[in-house]
Amino acid sequence: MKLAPFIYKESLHVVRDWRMLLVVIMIPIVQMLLFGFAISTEVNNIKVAVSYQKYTNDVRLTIERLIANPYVTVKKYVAPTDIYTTLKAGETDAAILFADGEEAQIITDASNPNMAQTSTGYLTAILSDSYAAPSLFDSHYLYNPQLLSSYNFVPGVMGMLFLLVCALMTAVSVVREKETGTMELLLVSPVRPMAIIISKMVPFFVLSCIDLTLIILIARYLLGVPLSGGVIPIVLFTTLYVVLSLFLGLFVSTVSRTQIMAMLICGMVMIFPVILLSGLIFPTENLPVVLKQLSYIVPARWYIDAMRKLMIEGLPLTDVMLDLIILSGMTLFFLIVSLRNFKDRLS
Amino acid sequence: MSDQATTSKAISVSNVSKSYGKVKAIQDVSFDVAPGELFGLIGPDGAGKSTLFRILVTLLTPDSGEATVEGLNTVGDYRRLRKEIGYMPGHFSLYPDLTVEENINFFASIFGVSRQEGYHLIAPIYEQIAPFKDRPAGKLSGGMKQKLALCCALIHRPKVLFLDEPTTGVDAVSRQEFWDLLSQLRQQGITILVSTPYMDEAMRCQRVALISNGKIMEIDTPQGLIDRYHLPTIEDVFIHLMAPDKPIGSLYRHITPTHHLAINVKDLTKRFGSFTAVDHITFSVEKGEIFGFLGANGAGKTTAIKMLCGLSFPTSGSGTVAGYDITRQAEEIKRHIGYMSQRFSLYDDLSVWQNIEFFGGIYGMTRQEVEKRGREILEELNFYDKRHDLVADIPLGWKQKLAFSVALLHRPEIVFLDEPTGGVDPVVRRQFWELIYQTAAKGVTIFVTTHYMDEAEYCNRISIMVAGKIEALDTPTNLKKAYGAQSIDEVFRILARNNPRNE
Repeated sequence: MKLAPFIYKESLHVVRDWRMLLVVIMIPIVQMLLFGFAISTEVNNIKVAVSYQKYTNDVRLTIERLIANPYVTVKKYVAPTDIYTTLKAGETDAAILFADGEEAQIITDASNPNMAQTSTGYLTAILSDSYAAPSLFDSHYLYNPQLLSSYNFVPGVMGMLFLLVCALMTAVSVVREKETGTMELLLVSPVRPMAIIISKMVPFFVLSCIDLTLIILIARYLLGVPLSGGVIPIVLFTTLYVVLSLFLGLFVSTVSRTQIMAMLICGMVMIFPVILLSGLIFPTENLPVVLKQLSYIVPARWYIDAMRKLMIEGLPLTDVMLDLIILSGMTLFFLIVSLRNFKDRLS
Repeated sequence: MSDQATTSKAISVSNVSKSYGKVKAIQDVSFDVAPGELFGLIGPDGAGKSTLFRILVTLLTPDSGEATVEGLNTVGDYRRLRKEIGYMPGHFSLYPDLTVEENINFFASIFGVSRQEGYHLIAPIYEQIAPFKDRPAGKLSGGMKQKLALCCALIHRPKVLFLDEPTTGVDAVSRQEFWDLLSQLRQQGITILVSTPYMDEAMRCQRVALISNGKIMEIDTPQGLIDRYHLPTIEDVFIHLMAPDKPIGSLYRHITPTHHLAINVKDLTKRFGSFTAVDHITFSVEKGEIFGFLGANGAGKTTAIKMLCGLSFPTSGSGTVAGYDITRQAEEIKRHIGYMSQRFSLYDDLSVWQNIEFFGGIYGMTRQEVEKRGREILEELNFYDKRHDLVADIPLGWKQKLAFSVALLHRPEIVFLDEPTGGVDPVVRRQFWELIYQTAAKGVTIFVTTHYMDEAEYCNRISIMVAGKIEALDTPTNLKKAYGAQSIDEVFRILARNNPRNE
């Protein structure tokens, strides 16, 4: 049997459900823009209360520098005794206490530890010019000198998105045929299971390619991600990851009986760990040992790791060999397991 | 049948058994079907018909025994066999988002044939659905879906056709047309194995196997069975075989309704945009009456019932149900009626008693009331001892009877039964109607829809809806007289054939 009519039919399913199609095309755009512009782990606009015991020249200069700094807003001047009430009331995020012209103290509201750490860092940098001894260390931030969080998020969004489009959609589309009973008809016909599988995958593969194009364009021209390693390694690596996700979806479809079950498995077992264990938000290096071991079996972890190297560090393919080998191994594993599980009879 | 038929067999099943866990789906089943024969598997839901079909179409392997189709073993030669057979599973397996034409083209392509090759076979069927060829299959009526599914199963010119309950949920007219099509196909030399829970359809098969609880009880020609057991219908034969100790009596009992009106509607109309689903219907039902509400698929029955139950607001017209105004007192109506349908009855994952507690709760009954009334209805059914059984584990027939009783839990004045007996075996069906008579005798009004025309004969009065209008309303006897018909089935067909809304 020729594959073309089968693929045509699968494409019709995708096109007919235009709402879903729209979602799949819009997700990368919206997510990239959200993470690129709106949501970031950078800390901007730290509200600071300033308090001093003696108004020396150093204090005046420092306060001027604080005011001039775009990341800091000097909210108010308070008496040293009012520092805690100001922080408690949530009016400011941090307070600087200049003690008798020699020392300065930074007090931050650490109810959000990330923000407290970052703002302390900023403020220390501003203060160090006039207070502590001149810095002994000269630090440089390589690959992302401005510490833009969008650099970090682009690979993360890609890792999640392809899993969503390929794995979830493939799983649901196969399981839907089980639910409507059409799978019975396909099995009874002379169609080989391999033909069913390939036809199911082709439309989602094409969709992924469209998404990848969109992502690369947005990353390069809107977010200014350097893509210094060139586009070809990124495309090659992503293709591997897409194929892996497709087989992962097929695997899920062989173990679920209803569409809801397929969605839950994809959502809870795949997408949730991707967010937590892949280094998308929380660095995998800091994970407890057990979770760290667990993160090794999350495909997205390796993909995101490789994408960082390729897109941001600009390393050649040879430097992501480990990721490449592991992902290829996983692809092979899911290919074999899902093909074995995909029976041409009812169980 | 030619002489060859005796030597070659289209289908041969010998000593096949299949279990799912502890449940024995079919046990030691054997039968042969000759080439070109129209063979019927007659039995209720859960009798094992679908399992048998799945074994024959190579989807399941039997635990023991052997089956061959066209001389090919269903286990060993399954790849070759799959090219020779057409299969229509129990529910119409179509792609709802693809159009009629796309469905047919796709099924042609997976068998590697072009549509033209098989066209002569499906032409008479396809002509009926051709006007809707660009409509998504999901938006077709039940009868149309059924014909499309048959086209899809025939497009590769199979030698043997397997039809698993092709007429379930389809109205009497479409069923009739479908069986006419099957007779035509048989003349083209196609062997057909068809299953049905409708006993009347058995008469149109050349031979039938009566199947119950996974076992074949009898195999013979329909007339042969009737003659052998000296009983008037196949259904009576079936009941006799299942429960030989019970005498078969006529079910019809006379019930005298009081002259209080339980339902009284005038010019009730419902429009959806330019489409008039229910067109000025006027009728009344007396308290304690068993009222049959008949109509083909899409005639507007469901819309009308929704308005009567206070679920849908009429576009125009007025009426009362249980004394409450349907336009203004929908909430009161809901409180005073009971509802049961074949599609939804009880929650499978709760026990019988938990279901009773739940339904009692939503009708605002107190714990003591639920306790007392629940015990009462279960004791009437002799089911009180098994009240903690999960509904999922109860046989379908019992489930229907329990669902009916639960619908009566809050002592409604009227019970709406929407196809309450679909798919249950004839014995249970008769028991169910016994229950309906008992309930009506207590003064509860019964409003029932059904696709079984023999059940229509059990009603005090029936109405037949065609294209949104009530075309006939009278006692079954008077209707038969007026249309010069032998049965309500015939009356129904005379009326529904003229349906202007026939898609």
